[in-house]
Amino acid sequence: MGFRERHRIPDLGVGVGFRLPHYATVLGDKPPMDWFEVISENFMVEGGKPLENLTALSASYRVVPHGVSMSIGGSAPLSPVYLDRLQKVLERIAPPWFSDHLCWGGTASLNAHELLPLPMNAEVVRHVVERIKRVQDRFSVPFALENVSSYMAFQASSMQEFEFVCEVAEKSDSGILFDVNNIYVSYRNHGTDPMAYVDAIPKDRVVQIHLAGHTEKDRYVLDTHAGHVRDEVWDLYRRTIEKLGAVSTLVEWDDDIPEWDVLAAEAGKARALRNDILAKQPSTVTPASEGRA
Amino acid sequence: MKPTALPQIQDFVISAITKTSPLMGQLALAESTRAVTTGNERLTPVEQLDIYREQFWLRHTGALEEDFVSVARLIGADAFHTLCASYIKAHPPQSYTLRDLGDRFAEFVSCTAPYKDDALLCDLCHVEWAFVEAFDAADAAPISAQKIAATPEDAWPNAVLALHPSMRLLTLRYPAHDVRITARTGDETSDAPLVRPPAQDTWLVVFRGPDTLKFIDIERDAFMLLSKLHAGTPLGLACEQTVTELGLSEAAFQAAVGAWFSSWTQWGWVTDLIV
Repeated sequence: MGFRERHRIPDLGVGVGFRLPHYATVLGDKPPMDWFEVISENFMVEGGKPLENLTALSASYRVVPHGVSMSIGGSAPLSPVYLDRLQKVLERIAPPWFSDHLCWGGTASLNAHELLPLPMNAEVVRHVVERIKRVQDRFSVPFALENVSSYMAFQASSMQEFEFVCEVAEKSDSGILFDVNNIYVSYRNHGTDPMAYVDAIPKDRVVQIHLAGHTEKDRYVLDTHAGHVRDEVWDLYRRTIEKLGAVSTLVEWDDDIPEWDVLAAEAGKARALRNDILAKQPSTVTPASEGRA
Repeated sequence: MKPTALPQIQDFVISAITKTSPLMGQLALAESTRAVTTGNERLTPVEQLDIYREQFWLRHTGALEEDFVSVARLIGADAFHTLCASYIKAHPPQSYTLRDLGDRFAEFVSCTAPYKDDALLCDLCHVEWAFVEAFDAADAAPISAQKIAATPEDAWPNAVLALHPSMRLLTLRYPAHDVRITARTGDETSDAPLVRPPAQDTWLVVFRGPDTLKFIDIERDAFMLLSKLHAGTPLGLACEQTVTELGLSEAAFQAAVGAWFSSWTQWGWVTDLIV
């Protein structure tokens, strides 16, 4: 039995990130949206509005927490304070899974607040797998890791990125948050074959998909989560859904955040594309077209 | 030497991306970076690493800029960025959250030339940070009338008042809270210089009300008593110390203290009575 089936990972449809400029609209008007993703760390606080907002959001929508600071690939010990606070977020919203990034964020003496790529080799796989298992021992909620975008590659790497992602997931028995935009960014920055990447990802381990915009710089592509999802990324998403079937999809938009209607329309575009593909797969159940609210 | 072990590689990367100036042109670093990262046909290894260095400073300076809007407005963007770089070098980010990045900023500014002699600037740093802390401090319900009524009269002198966890008590030399409002009203990115108010001793309480963050500047005598209670001093002793230190008559104190407590209760500051 695969990871998704074993953990009864639901297909939540297409959602968006819960971001400050939309708090009033979302919590006040409760517009249709299949689900929301929240940045875990924004709610790992003692009290006040953040927790009120999280509670209100989870009363009306399905909510999944997505972390940016666990530093699963770091050399410094996992922070017990961090894990304690994450536990409280999970208890508050009871999500179907939670996620972070397959990366590292700093050393014992400094947190760079960056999703830094890892050297990809057998030694690092062992290191990361051991740490994932400790996280899994701590939490009863299924855990998934996202492939990150990157701007540098290491001499110490001896594996392709998709091999690294798959091996970590298999050996740790964790889920994959498959970021389609990140694959495109890495393709542009490192020349990796994005379609081969999609084809290599094990279908039963992907619990969620990310879509986002990015920014073209002179000689590289920056993963800014700004602007509309680019056509090339939509193409990759189409291929991904054709392969993976009905997997919860999330549109991220974190820079130059637009009006709610623009973001909701971007999610609508993903939903239409997804439903169109799923409709051609007779055995797949498609989600409702109108989100829960 | 070519670092291959993960801790070595990570130490090297962190050391490089926290440098304040671009990595390109630093010859020794170029050689060691080639041993760690590969580069490609468009970017050298150092240029790849420098993308992360640039993002490190943009992200952290941006976070401080959001938390200390009025400080940036008072000294100007360039000076503020230089100050941020000095601060981050002195106090590298260690918390998992950027929310904690400025937790030593006021202390740093208060002992760093030339800013340590700028009392308004130092006050502004404290006021801005008080709002950050009050925003997500723990919740607590106001004390109930039943709890107050049920407390025997002879228990009050030794009782310790629990105050709302969001309360931050600030002794200021300037009405910095007014400057903060000006800086955060309208166009926060405006380059227009802020008007410096005249010095004026101010006793400010920043706290979280039912819906929003609030501040109230209260009179000195009330602030002194409140500070003692905030520090956990039992009620009777706090009152005695306040009367003595301020040289108040018992009658004058008795006349004022009832109104103080009435206001504090109304603002939701008193959350429990520990007897």
